[in-house]
Amino acid sequence: MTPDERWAANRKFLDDAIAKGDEIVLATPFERLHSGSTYERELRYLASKGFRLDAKAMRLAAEHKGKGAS
Amino acid sequence: MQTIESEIISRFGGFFDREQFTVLRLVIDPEHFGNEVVICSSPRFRLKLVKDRGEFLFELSPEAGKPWYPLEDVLKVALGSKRFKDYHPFFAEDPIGTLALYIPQVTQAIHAKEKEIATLGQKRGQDLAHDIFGSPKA
Repeated sequence: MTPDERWAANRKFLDDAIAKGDEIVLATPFERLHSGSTYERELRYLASKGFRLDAKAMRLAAEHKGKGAS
Repeated sequence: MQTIESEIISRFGGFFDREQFTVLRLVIDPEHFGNEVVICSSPRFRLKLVKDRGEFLFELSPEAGKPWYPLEDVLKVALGSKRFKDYHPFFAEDPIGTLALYIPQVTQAIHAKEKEIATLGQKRGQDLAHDIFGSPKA
């Protein structure tokens, strides 16, 4: 898979999760969050879709429930 | 499709031989969407390779039973932030090549400055998360 193909597959997975309207639990700790990583790209994508970080950490909640990926 | 063992041998085999690394185990991590994890040991420290969504991540641990720390954080402490910044383009291109250049410094840091490395990693991750999401929801 090329990086673009991989990102397309990752984005589809995220879009499916967004469409379900669920909270997203982060399985990877922030200690593994690096600039330029796929993890960073995924979090920035989720932030662009209205997800916000829960203070209790490692969970992302949509600002507007049911808001799907565009 | 290339297996992770053959990929590691073709990409990092020379480094493993020179630094006397032996592969201890290979696991598929079901809690992290099937990440492939390879744990190796050398006389100096342990090295973990995590293949996550096609990318390799590298973590170091001083010895069995101790926590793992991202290679980037260990190098930053080993070289100092300013010097690491100068090397960052090379590190981004070739993390293991960068590690190979600084084995003595990395060995010293992973054994003697563990707390500093852990604190640095937590701060880096939190700062980047804050940059992405802004202040967390109360």
